[in-house]
Amino acid sequence: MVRLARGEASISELGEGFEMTLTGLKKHVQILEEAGLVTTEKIGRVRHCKLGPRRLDDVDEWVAAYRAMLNERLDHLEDFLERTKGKD
Amino acid sequence: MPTAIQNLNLTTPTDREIRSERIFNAPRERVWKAMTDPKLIAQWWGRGNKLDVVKFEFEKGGHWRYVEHSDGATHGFEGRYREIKPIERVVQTFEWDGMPGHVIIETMTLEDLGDGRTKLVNHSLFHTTEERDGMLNSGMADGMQQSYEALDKVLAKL
Repeated sequence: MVRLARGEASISELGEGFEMTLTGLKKHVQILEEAGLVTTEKIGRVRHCKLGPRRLDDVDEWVAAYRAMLNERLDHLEDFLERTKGKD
Repeated sequence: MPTAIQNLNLTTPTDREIRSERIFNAPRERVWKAMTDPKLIAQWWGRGNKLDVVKFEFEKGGHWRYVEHSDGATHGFEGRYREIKPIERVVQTFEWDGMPGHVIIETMTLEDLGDGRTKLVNHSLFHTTEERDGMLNSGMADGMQQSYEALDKVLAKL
């Protein structure tokens, strides 16, 4: 998905950097396509993939994830300050 | 002394804003140091995961980049400093590699409570898709149109 955010790619281009068989990758893409996250088009013998109508970059999801992360981070800052008390 | 109870204060003034207040049992200088010294940042920012402070240009316009390692995966976070007012305020942009183009503006303000404790107010403002798409649909499209029109005029004169 991150790769596709940078632009269209063929299935084999998507596989670069992943240890996945072409068959496995095709299945993966098919699942993403069914979910509306990816659309594909076969041009000649190459299947091109791009981001689909439903975006993973749905802002609500991102806001929620960020919020949880921020909270966790502040918890760790708090722990850190407690742990290092009197050491400076 | 656990301070968790008095601390949890997280509000969402709008659906694109997060405001969080925390009170730490530490003087402002110590909190500032923990937040602005890369060696110390590496000890808490990763939420228990290994953290590499890849870039730390702590000045206005400077670039910061941290990489968190968890379960064999790496997550990069980065941004630029917009404002630095020592021991009081840092304004920075925040982006996660997994959401390229979604910029958050984070404002962190430290307030000395005068009793050895410090209040950290963290405000995060999300750049909305509406804004981004709006820019793409109107501004950029208009700009392209103008460029093409200008090009047409130039070509017509040749």
